[in-house]
Amino acid sequence: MNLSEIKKDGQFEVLGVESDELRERLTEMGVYRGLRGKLVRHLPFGGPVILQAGESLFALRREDAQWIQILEL
Amino acid sequence: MDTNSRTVIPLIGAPNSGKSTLFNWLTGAKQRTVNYPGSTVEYSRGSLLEIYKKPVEIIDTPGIYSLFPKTSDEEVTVDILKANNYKKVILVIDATQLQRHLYIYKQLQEAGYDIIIAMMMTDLLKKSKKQINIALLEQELSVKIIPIEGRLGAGVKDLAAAIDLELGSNTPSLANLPRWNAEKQQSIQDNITDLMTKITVYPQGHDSKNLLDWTFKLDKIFLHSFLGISLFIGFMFFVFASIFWFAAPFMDFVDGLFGSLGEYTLTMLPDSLIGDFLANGVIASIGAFAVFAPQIFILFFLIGVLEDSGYLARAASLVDRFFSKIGMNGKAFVPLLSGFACAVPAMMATRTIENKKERWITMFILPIMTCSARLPVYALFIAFLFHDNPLLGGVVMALVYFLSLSIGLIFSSILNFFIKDTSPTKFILELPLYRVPMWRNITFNAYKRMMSYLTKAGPVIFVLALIIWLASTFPNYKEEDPIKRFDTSYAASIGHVIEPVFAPMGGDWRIGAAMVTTFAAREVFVGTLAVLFKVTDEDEDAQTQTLLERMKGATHADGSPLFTLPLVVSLMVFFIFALQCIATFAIAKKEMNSTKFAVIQLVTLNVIAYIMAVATYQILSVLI
Ligand SMILES: Nc1nc2c(ncn2[C@@H]2O[C@H](COP(=O)(O)OP(=O)(O)OP(=O)(O)O)[C@@H](O)[C@H]2O)c(=O)[nH]1
Ligand SMILES: [Mg+2]
Repeated sequence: MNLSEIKKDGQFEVLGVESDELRERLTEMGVYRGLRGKLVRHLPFGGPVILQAGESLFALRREDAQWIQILEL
Repeated sequence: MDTNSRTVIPLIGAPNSGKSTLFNWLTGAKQRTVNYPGSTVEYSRGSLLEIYKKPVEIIDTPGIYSLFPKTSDEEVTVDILKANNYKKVILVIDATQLQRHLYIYKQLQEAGYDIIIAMMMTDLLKKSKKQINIALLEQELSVKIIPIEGRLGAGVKDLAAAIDLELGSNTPSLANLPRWNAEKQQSIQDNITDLMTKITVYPQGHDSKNLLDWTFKLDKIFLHSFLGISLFIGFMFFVFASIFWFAAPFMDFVDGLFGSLGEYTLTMLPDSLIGDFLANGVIASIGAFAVFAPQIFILFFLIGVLEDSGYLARAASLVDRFFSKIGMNGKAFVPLLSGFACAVPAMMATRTIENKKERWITMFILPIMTCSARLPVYALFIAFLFHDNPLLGGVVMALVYFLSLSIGLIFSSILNFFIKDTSPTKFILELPLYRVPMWRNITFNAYKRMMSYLTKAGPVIFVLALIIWLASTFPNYKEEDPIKRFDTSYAASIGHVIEPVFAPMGGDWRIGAAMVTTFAAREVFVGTLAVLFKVTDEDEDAQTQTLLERMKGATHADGSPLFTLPLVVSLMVFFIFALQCIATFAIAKKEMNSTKFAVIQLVTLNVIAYIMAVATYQILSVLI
């Protein structure tokens, strides 16, 4: 399952990122394998998804979210 | 580098961790601090304040997520680290984002830097459920950590005291830092996760809420599909309209004031060249231009509120979908918004855009945004058209702003169609917590921008007023009849040469001359217009007339009114497209590292401006 498929308020754990380039940036920003988070909301008109992990919030384009493999919790 | 006398210490840290705030406390500088990751895009230096009695130079840097840069702003930071042999760095971290901000610590440590950690936002940490055992963290990392409260400056003294002037024997080198592979990156994060578990404490009975509570509440409104977008448009509308609403009374007041001042000068120095120069040259032009200072203040103040609140990252996320369809990125939002202030810093702000094509397009359309130098021009024309109905005037002002944005976006989609480029693009943005803006900083910054408006364009206007006055008074300065004097002047002869260029858009040579001066700075337009209409006014009794009244009375050589609706609209259209700013040209060339880009942009925008202005005038003249 990837991150673009999860529903609002769904909890997840990051399993990995399939694009190397994206993975490196996400890891540096603090989205890495093993991170647990929650999908807070989908922005309107197919806009980015908003993720929460601990006390951090991220906006991530839905196309980019497809590369992130997750485990739904 | 003069290492013997001064120790140089850069502030390094993740975006939005509070580096610029700390830099201001340490050096007394007034850097803009903005609640958006990626607000600083260029480094700046400053000396540690005298009171700390240490010969230390501090450098504020753009935020980085890693020492392996991905964007141009990150490159700035990594490049200065590479180019200088700093031994010490101050790592700036946000206490509430510890896990993420310690990542760079590991990189700096591996590169061999001597590190002090400045832990910002400790006021927020206190409000959080989680507490950090700082002593244990210091021990685990074997590093000195100074907690700092960036709003009030508590702890800054301790940081200054902790700076050790002795240079260690370490020889840090970024060049020797091997690129971290995927495994290494992951293991570092795992390592920090373990560390976090050790040092985090959840005090019993500690009555505190989740830090994000307020942010979630506000996001429910601001990220709501309908409500969020309407609120945003509504707020922007209010910002731009209120600039005009505030402008109208000021314009009348200052117009009248400078009118009387001019008249007084003429009675004090009757029939003298100097009196004529002061009243019709200096006072008229400076007056016409100084009226707008309060509006500049309002514009920057309100943009400041938006910036410091944390809203910008939300707006960027909201527009990303749409922007990505027309060849841009949500991250273009912040540069575009700051383009409403000035294109120069806005072009620098595009450094946060990773993808080349997206950055190219953003740079290209930026000069179309209504910068503050155009504000006086539009305010003058709108006041001229809607003097009887200021309320409507404000609405039109806001529409002009939205029009410039829409035209920019249309340009973007056209460019997107022609530029074939498929290099990968992405949008990942951290959303900072909402914060109450730092009112003092915002007010001070707005004041600073207002003063720089006055002091930068003021002298230019003075010189131009002098030139125009000289050119329209000489060679026949002894001539008693002002009309004859003027008709035989240098200005009139030059004017007749340039007139044909501006005739198709409805202007006479005076409009033409004023347009030519805008290439020195757009905001001088109102000043030169004021001088030109004063010295060329044939009605001797009308010395106290305001610029607006003079514009109403101005005529073509054949006696027909000059400022007709088609002319005013076509002038505004010209100003929307035209790139008259040398500083913008220079920064475009520097940022894109391409003279070609800057020249293409300059020529394209000005040619389009002229064509559109002529077309507007011709079409409106037929219709009306
Ligand atoms: N509550 C609180 N807010 C702070 C503190 N320090 C900084 N801020 C706010 O945090 C935001 C970011 O501060 P900056 O100093 O601009 O951060 P920066 O590290 O320079 O950010 P970039 O230039 O984008 O990398 C601003 O809104 C500041 O007002 C602090 O100690 N407490
Ligand atoms: Mg900064």
